[in-house]
Amino acid sequence: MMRIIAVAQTTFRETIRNKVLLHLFGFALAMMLVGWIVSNWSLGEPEKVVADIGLSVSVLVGCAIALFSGIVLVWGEVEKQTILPIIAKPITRAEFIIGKFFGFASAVSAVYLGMNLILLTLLAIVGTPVTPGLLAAIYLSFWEVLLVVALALVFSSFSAPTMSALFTTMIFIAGRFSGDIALYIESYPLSASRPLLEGIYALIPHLHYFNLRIEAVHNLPIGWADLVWPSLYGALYCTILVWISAIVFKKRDLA
Amino acid sequence: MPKHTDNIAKSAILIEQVSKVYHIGLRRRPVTAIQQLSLEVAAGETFAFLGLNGAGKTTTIKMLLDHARPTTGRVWLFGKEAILADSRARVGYMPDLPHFYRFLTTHELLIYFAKLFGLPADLTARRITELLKLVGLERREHEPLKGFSRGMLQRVGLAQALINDPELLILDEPLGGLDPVGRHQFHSIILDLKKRGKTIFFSSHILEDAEKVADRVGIIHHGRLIASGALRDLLQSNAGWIAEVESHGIYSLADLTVKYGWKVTTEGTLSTIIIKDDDGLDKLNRLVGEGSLKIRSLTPQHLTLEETFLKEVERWDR
Repeated sequence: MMRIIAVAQTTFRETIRNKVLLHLFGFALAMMLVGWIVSNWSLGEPEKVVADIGLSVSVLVGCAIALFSGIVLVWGEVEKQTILPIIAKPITRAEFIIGKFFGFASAVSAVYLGMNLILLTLLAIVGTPVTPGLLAAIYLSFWEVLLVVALALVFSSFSAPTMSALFTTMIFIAGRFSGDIALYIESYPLSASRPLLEGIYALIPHLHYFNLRIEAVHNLPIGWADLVWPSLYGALYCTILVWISAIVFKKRDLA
Repeated sequence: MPKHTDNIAKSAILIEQVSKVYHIGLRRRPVTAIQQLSLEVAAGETFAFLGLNGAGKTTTIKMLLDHARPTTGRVWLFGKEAILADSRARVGYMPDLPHFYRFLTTHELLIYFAKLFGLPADLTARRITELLKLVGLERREHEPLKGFSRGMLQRVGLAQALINDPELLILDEPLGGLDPVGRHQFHSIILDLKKRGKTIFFSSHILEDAEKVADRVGIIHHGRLIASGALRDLLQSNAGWIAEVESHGIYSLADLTVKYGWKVTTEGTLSTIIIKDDDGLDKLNRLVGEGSLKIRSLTPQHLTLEETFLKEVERWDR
């Protein structure tokens, strides 16, 4: 456990000190300010525009950080050979992968938290009350970001960044449309492509579970079940992905 | 206990019949990096692992540290299989190209590595102070590593390799990026560790370094161990002899040169013959027995490690 914590601490430190993260954070801030400016030209309810754009920007920038930094998380260590003195210590590859996940997830979470604190400040400025629904949407989107971290980690443990970016993006997009895939399967039960779509649906992460942004912006009711089940689903999916990463990474040569 | 099991337990390093095949490219073309390598390094020994660039030195070290898995064969460190993380608890490793996290400081890096060994905080603090002094980085411990030169990173590399006060130190081309002062300091450090009974396994293609510190030497060429043994034995076994002889007229200088391929020089009544191997020595003895020659002196020739190395590599390539 101590070794996992050590890897996580170092990964957090190394990630957070990277200026790329700061630039993406700045970009998110700029987008939120643009949302604020645009909201002044909207036809009524500008606070909803700020909330809608702000929530979308924070989750998309969170996912972008998870994707672009995540795809080099393990691959970069192998390529730059920073992993060699680490694996020469009495640490298992699984411990290393788990530590990397928690360290990187913590760094991304810190940035995500920072972005949302800025969003809440902006909302306070435009006079929007911070509702439990808004906090619930921020919380569930956090699981979406974590899932992208875990997805990027899997591909990073065996593949070069270009391929990892491609695969992670494809799965991310498919995951975002998972609700539509489910709807299609239900609507066309006799379709020839049904078995294939059912297979894809079973494998891809159901990212639509984590989207409460519409409910939050329009003050629609949100129950505990809307939070608990997606959280459990997210935790289970992340665990499986980290486990796959550890197995894949265990078998590969670091050369 | 059977001898084999006994060897595993006693050796610091035991490599048994190890081969490593990489599969390169889209067609997964097999490339053999190591072939049937067997090697044993006893506890307390300083072993130099020599070879040309691409000979298989780093691949062998990678298999010692589970950076790469053998395709066939097995590797043990202090009696534990090298694929187990636990086998590295008493090991320190310095890579050939010291790459560390760019945004960490030396101090943070050493704390990180100490935690991977499970060292308590007070011991870690003490070790870091000692090691930074040893490698001459005590004034730069809080600077990010991204600003360090290769030589300085090499020093950080040595410090991190010693953080757990290891019993076995594995150094991959340790003196590659160092200036003459750095090399001298490194030699002193390695000799001091040797005096303290540490086992040192280092790879190098700088033979002068190996000659200064090694007890035993192994020469790897095209993935095969082509020679190994105590440094003194290896140098002598390759050296040959210089014989001063008096010829009784049966054989002329030209005869010996042509018949045996010996290099013969004559000065007055004495001829000097350089004999390269045991076979040559046998022939000389036969000539003496026949009464053709009389030996005035027979002196073993001393080769440098470089000469020995080149001789072994040439012999193998032939």
